[in-house]
This record gives sequence, C-alpha cells and structure tokens, in this order.
Amino acid sequence: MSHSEEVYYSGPVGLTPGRLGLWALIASEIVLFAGLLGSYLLLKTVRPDWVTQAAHLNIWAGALNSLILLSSNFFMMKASTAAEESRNEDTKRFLALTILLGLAFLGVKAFEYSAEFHHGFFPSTSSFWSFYFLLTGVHGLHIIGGLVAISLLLFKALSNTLEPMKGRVFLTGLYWSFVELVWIFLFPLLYLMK
Amino acid sequence: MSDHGHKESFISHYIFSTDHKMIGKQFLLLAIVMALFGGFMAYLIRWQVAFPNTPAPFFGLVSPDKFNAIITMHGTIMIFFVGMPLLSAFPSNFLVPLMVGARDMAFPKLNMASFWINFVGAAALIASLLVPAGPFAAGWTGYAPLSASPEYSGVKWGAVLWVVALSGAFISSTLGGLNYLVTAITMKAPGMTYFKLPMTAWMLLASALTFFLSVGPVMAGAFMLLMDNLFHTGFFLPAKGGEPLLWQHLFWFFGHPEVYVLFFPALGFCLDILATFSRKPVFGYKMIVASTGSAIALSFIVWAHHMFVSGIDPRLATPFSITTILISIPFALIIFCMYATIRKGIVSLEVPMLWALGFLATFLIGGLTGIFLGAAAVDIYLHGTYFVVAHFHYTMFPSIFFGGFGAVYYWFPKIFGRMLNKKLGILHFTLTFIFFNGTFWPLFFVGIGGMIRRIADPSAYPQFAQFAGTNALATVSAVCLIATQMIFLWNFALSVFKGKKAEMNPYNACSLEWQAPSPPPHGNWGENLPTVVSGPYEFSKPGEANDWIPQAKKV
Amino acid sequence: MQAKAGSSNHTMIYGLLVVLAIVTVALPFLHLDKIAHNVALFSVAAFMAALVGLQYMNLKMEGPLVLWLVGIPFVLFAVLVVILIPEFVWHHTILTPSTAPPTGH
Repeated sequence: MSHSEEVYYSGPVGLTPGRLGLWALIASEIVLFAGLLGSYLLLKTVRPDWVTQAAHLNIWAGALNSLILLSSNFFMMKASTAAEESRNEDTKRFLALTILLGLAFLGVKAFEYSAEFHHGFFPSTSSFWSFYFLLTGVHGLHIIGGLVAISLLLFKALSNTLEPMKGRVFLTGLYWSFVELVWIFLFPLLYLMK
Repeated sequence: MSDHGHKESFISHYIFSTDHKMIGKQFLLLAIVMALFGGFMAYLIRWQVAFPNTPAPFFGLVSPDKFNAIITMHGTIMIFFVGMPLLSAFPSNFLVPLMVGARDMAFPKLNMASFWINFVGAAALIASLLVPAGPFAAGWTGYAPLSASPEYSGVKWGAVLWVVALSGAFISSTLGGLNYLVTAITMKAPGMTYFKLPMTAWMLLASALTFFLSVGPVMAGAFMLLMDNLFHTGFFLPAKGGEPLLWQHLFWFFGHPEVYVLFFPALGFCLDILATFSRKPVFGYKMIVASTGSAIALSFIVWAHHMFVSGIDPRLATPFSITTILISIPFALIIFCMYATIRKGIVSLEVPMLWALGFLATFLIGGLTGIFLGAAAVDIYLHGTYFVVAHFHYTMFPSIFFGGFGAVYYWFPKIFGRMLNKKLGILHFTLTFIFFNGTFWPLFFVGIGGMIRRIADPSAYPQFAQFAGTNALATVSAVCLIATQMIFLWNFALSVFKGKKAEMNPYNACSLEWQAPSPPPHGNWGENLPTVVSGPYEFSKPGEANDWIPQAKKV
Repeated sequence: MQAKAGSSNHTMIYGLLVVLAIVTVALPFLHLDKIAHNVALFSVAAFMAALVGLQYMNLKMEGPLVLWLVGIPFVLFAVLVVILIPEFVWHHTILTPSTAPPTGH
C-alpha cells in the first residue's frame, strides 16, 4: 500500500493492539475456566465421595508438573526479555527450554493418565473422574496450543526472521503465563482440596 | 494488500480474503443461506402444529422425531447462524473500521480465520441433518439429561456435530469480537473519539464485549455435554453422580446475555436510521451509552428466569424476578430515546426507516411481554407455553429481521455501490410486517389459553382442539411470511448486479462511513486517513446552510 | 512497548513461586481442619497468581482499560459461584446420588 507505513494509533499510551487483543482473549478464557472450575467447586461441596476418589490422584506427579510448568514459564519470560533486547541466541535457547519443559509437562500428564486408566479410572467411571479428565484435558489442550505457538516463534528465531515480530514473544508469554495461572488453581483444587 | 495494482486471484479476493469488507459480505451470504434452511424448518413446524399428521408439501410427514429435530435445528440455525452473522459479524466486519476511520481490522488474518471457523460450524450443523439417527433433537437449549445420553435422545452423531457447530460459532464470534474491540480502541482516525462514534458502533462493540465475557460457561458445558454423549461421563447424568441442572445454569448464564448480544446491534442500526431519516441527532446519546452499560451488567444476573420451573432452589426465584424486572428499565429508556429522536423530526419514510419503525412497534410488544415472564409467579403458568414462543419471536424476529433488514437496506448502497429497488422494498416490508404479526400475535392467546410448546402432535390433546382454528390461521400467515422473503432475495440478487449505481452518500448522513466511496476500495480512505471534526449526528444544526454536516473535514 | 522487567526480578519471582509451590504440597501434611486447609490452599494459590499476574504478565504496569478487562471476568466467576451456592450447596435438586433410583449402567 502506498500508505502502508502510516499507522495511526488511538489507544491508551503504552498499550499495543496485540497486547490489548491478548488480554481480551485471556478475559474470555478466564470465564471459560470459571465455568469449568466453578462447576467442580460447587458440586464438590455436596459430593463427599469426591475427596476419597481424589486420593487416587498422584500428588507427586502433580507437584512435579507444577515445578515443571513454573520453570517453563520462567524460561519463557527470559526468552521474552531476550527477544526484546534482540539477543537472538539467548531467545532461541530459552524458547527451546520452554518447549522442552512444556513437553515434559505433557509427558508427566500422559504418565498419570495411563496409570489411572491402568487402575480402571476412566472419564466414565464417575462424575469426579469426568471432571478430573475434562479439567486437566482442557488445560492440556491449552498447553498444546501454546506449544504450537511457541514452536512457531522458535522456527522464526532459528531462521533469524524473528526480529520484525519480536513483540510476539512477549504476547505468547502472556498466554503461557495464563496457562500457568490456570494450573496454579487447578492443581490444589483437584489434588489437594479437602 | 492489493492497491498497488497487485493482481489478486479470484481465491484471494473472494474466498480467502483478509479485507474486512469482503469478510463482512461473506458473513451476510452465510446468514442468507442459513436463513433459507431455518425458514423452511419454520414452515414445517407450523404445518405440523396446524395440520397434524398430514404430509407437509415439499417435505412429507413431520413425525415426532423429525419435529423435535426440526424445532432444535430451527432455533440453533436462527440464533447462531443467522442472528449472529447477520447482526454481529456482517455489520461489525463491514462497518466498524469504516465508522472509526480505519483501513481494516486490527488483525485481518485472524478475521479471515473467524469467518472460516464459522463456516465449518455451519457446515457441521447442516451435515448433522444427514447422519445416522439424525440431527440433535433436544431443543436449541439442549437440556440434560435428555441431551446428554444417546440412550435417551436416540441421537449420537447429531449431538456431537451440534456441539462442534456451536463451538465453531462461539470461537468465531469470540475472535471476531476481539478484533472489533481492538480496532475500535486502537485504530480510530485522527479526531475520532468514543463519543463521536455513531450508535451502531457503540452497540456492535457492546454486543462483542457481552458475547466474549459470557460465552465461557456454555463452552464449558458444551465440552461436558460432548463427553457425556461420547464417553458416558457423569456431568449431567444423575446415575453417574452428575447434575442435570448444571447444564441449564451454564447454558443460560450465557444464553441470557446472548439475547442482548443480538438485540444491541438492532438497537444501534435503528438509532442511526431514525436519526438519518428524521434529520435529527439521536436523543440522549450519553444516556443510551450509560443504559447499555448497565444493561450489560444486569444481563449477567438475570439468567435463572429461564429456569423458574426447572426445580431450582425456590429462594432464587424472587431475586431473579427482581433483577429481570430491573433490566427492563435501561432498555425502556433506550426505546424512549428512540421515540424522542423521531419527535418533531422531518421524517421521510424511506425503506430503512420503515424497518426501524417496524422494529420499534414490534419489539415493544416483545419487551412488554417479557415482563410477564420475568415475574416468577406468572411464569409458573406461562413457562413452556406458546406465550413464551410469541414473546421471543416478538423480540428476536424484530431484532434479527426488522433490525437486520434495516441494516441491509440502509447500508446496501455503501456495501455494493448500488441501490436496492424501493418499490420492492416497500412491498417486502409491508407484507413482512403484516404476516409477522399475523403469525405470532395469536400465539400469545393460544399460550395464555394453555397450549404447550414443543408438542409434535397437538391433536393428541383434546384441550388443544379449541386452538386449531387459530393455529391454522397462524400457519397460513407464516407460510405467507416466508414466501414474502423471496421478494427480498429477488431484490437483493438483482440489485447487487443491476441496481442503480449509488452515490457516496445517498441519504446525506453524517457518520464517517458515508464519506468513503460506495463501495470503498481496499484500504477504504485513499491516500490519507480522514480527520474527524464533528459528531455523527450533525443534522439540522441551527445556522447551518445544509441540514447535515459530515464528520470528517473535507480534504 | 512494555516496561522491561529485569531478569533478576524474574529469577526472584521464580524462586518465590517454587517455594510457594512446595508450601502448597506441604499443606496436607499439616493436617489442618477442612476449612483452614482449603482457605490456606486458596490463599497460597491466590498469592502465586498475583505474582504471576502482576510481575510476569506486567499487570502492575497496565492501565485501567486492561485492568478492568481482566478484573471483570473474576467478578463474573464470583457471581456464577456465589449465586449458585443456594442451588447446589444448600438445596439438592430432585435427583441427587442419594435419592436417585438405583440404576444399572
């Protein structure tokens, strides 16, 4: 476009369209998880048997996953800072670590699921298990989506084409932090609550 | 990006376009096509109710199973694949960048994705008509436990595809809504402020915001319903420790704000149309904005008025009745402002104005009858009767069709660069108005008389025999109503290709979109963005030579 | 164009989050009564969330638009749960596990 470089920005100082859009997306996602977690919370109060069923959950796997995801998020933050300062080597390294840890999270989760199936606990076993598999499953889908996005950034960094869109690393980091946030509530809710 | 003379292929111009105007037109086309399905189903419903157990022409016998599927599909299609595209996606996509003075949306590729996701959802829903055991048939509201188990409903893949279709619609509308909001906040042209935006822009944004803040719980519920159907989980099935009412709460927490998601745009269109064809500013602009805000807030705490008789805690009935009655106040205020806008104006009855006036007349009835239903004590009697059916058709039909047609007729010159035929438009409006009222007005009385809705065969109930004549009349009117829409389709198709060429601003309206060419080129504004200097409704300003002042400075 | 958070800040927050995660897992071993335990769990989680939100997600640098945008969903979460307390907690709808007729599945 002959006028393609002209971009007139009318929003609040310091905000960008990308960041605003991502926060709006996060706002919508919060209400989604509100529906999921809220339903679990409400029904749990009148399902005393859910606590006994929750005892079958692997708290150590869950705790390990908490540490894994926290670490993944940490490296994403470092990648974001590195990208902003145009340190491409660091960006690549930190993005790769983020992805590795994210995959480790999925791996632990898969291990948990297969152990649970092995013990005869399926989504159809009872309403507790239905909620457990749904909540962790939806969270897991968000992890997968995030990993896809982060991988795309890594490809860009590897081919040295990240610079024009380096702001996207921070935005993706916002999303990744949101996924972390959900887990911060999900883990105690499912695994540890009495 | 194509205005360097860069040649676009047919595919990149018409199919996978990132231009907001083309995407808007794609949504319009989707809405029209889906309305044909939805309208045909309405005919089948009315046929079976009025002439039970007789084969409907062009279809055959509407058996009870088919009836349940048809009422379900009719509702789902009309709300999510006609209402949302026609009132939200099409106008927001086409108009929001133009009204704020931008060249396109903030995220054009995401915008394109949002159309195609919606398309996939629509395709899934149509495909569900053909799967074994047929489409989803538990009502567009999909109440559990009927909807949660193939053993109860007899339907499995239909239910799966229904959830897929809704998911597509929800994701599409969420992504679209983000786009409209970010565009309006961050891409306004120089000089444009929030309070210089026309009401249509405000209402489209209000609709988008309300949607993406309310959709979460129903999305959660939809996952649960899908799992109950596919994997025999126990979210809504009591035998597994589930809770059927949970579905209703999750659904209506979204479902109620959703009706306002559909209503706000219609209000916006009508306000702009009333202003233009009364040559007067919108009355009470800031009051309307404030009322819209309070209506949005209230809309999140009224939902259980859909559930007064489902077995909720009786202590919830009174609070929800109070909030429901309260929410009528901001809306009444807006309607009064609409009347005040016309008052003492120089009214010209162009076709868009007819639709706006028709909207006012019909929606008034819908809104007032909602108050009856909002009071729990009265609702205990009226719930599940044709009174409810009449009520929501007197709110939804005015919004989707009177509001929607108003928008199409009003902005058609801008979108297609041609004029719709006026005589056909007057005929279309007049017959639609007559036959719409003819179809649904009698249903209030039939409902008060005790006729229950969603009954496939009324003739099986002796107490409904007294309504047979009324139902027959309503059906005749309904068939005429649907047939009348062919006038619009003919006018639309003809005018897109052969209509009289439109000038830039055929109605001498002030808002910014009328200062772009008809139709606007890629990039909308030519070399420079417009500079906005005045408000959207500078009509009949005392001391001015013209009875209208355009928003942007003439370059 | 976001405010730069120093990397040492990130590291400190990370350390704090790890400690809090360990505290979370240690709570059951304190054998608190149900309410104290759940309140403690929620409080630790809320504090961790605040750290992630304010520091990692830079919310402390954001203006009112973003803050309202993010705050309202939490209000809606509270609305959903609180309004449904009478429904699911104090009042059992017709079919609950204890009153449901015995069925085979």
